[in-house]
Amino acid sequence: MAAPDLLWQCVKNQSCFIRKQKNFPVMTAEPGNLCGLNNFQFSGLASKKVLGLDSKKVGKKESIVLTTRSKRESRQYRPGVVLVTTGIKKGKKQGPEQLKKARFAR
Amino acid sequence: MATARPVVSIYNFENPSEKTGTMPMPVVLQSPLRPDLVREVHRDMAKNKRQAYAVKPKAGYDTAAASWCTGRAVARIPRAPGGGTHRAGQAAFGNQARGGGMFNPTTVWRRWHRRVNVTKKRHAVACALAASALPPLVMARGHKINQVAELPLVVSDGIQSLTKTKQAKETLKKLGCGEELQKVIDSKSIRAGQGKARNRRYVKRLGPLVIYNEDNGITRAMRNIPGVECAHVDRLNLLRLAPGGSFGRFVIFTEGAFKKLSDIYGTLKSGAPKKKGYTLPRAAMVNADLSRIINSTEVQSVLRPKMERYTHGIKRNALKSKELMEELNPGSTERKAVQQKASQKGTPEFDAVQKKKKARIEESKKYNKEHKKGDETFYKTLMKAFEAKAAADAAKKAAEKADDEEDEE
Repeated sequence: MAAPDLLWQCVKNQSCFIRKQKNFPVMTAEPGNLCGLNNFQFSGLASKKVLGLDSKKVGKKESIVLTTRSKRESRQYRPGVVLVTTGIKKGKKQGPEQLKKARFAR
Repeated sequence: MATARPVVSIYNFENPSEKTGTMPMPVVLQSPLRPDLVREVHRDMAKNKRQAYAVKPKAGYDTAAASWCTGRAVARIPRAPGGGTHRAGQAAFGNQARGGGMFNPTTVWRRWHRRVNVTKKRHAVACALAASALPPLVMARGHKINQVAELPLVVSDGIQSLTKTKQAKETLKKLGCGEELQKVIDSKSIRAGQGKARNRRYVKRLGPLVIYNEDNGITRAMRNIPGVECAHVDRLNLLRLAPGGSFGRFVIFTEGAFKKLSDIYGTLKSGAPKKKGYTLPRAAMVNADLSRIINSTEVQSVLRPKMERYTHGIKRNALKSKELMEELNPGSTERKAVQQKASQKGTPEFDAVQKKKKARIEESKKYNKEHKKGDETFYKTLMKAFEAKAAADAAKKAAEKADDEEDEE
């Protein structure tokens, strides 16, 4: 896979996910971007360390989903499987614990 | 990429969930990414299909108009000659005149086409192919590839023999292109602008590009599917690989075409067998992963230790902060405490001060007694000297006066 820095240079100005507004930082809609900001740090496309937090609604049930990038070399070329989603527990203690782990695993 | 070439799976076109084999990735697909090059070459290549447009050469000048010059109470612009019609005497020729020619008429001999160096074009195609093998770039271009098993997507050669569009569509859907095809269908809209009245009524997004080696029906099967384009691997067009100048098109290769890429482009060492005198582009930086380079042991082991940065805290005023004063002027607090105590009656410090004071006064008195009373004071001795001298002078004067008086008598 191409280097993250190189990919970022290709993608930072030219991506279908970029959303711009006046007097507002540039944002992106790509999956795996935690803040939605168009930064290398948070990039879900270019960065190897991907962290995304979303809510997913299936029927009536709404769950919190954490997105990370698989570290396996074989998965880097497989678009369907490269981003791994795990559920986050909604408990007061457990949820933030999981997030902390995920953050430091980045 | 100095690492081993990744291996690409070939998917069975009849049953895309199973793989029929593997192939190492051709070196073309690992060319350096050069969006600037692709953009530049695309810009120039896209100009080559233009058709000339211009106004008629005589437009606005097909009258025998001449200026009436001065003296006739009209502006000096050339006017149409003759009479008997409204046109007579009307302004002509100028861009400001009604029925006159335009400013700087568009001409047919405008430079419509651009030539691009062959090597540059080839490098751009190599680069665009490389980009189509990277999921982030294909996603960034806007293709929906979440259901696609692998990138680059290589399908067994059977797909080249498809003749029916229905079958082709089903195959593509099974390969994971369903979302992409739907995106194209949903995106069909009427063009903005005059193009809609010029036989370019609809616009839609682009879908996958299918690159084949042998056309046994595939082009005809695929051509009516909205968004899908076909290309022969020998004749790859940058305008298809990087539409709009943005690389990362979603490409589907057939097995034969994928194999042929290595035959056409070769490796960096061998050069391109099918392209005379051409070698694939080399990256300016083979390992472009800056964070890895910086954090590697080779680099970290020869760095000097990190400098301690002196950070200034909030500035404190020593006159207000006793701690800071003590830091800067050690012993000052103690001294101040002593001073404080010295002004309080009853403390040993107070007594010490008083004692010193008393002793000083005693000394002074003693001195005064010795030196400031009696006949030996400074003043008295000074005046004595004066008096002695004064007396001596007076006596001298008296003696002189007495002499003078004597002389007069």
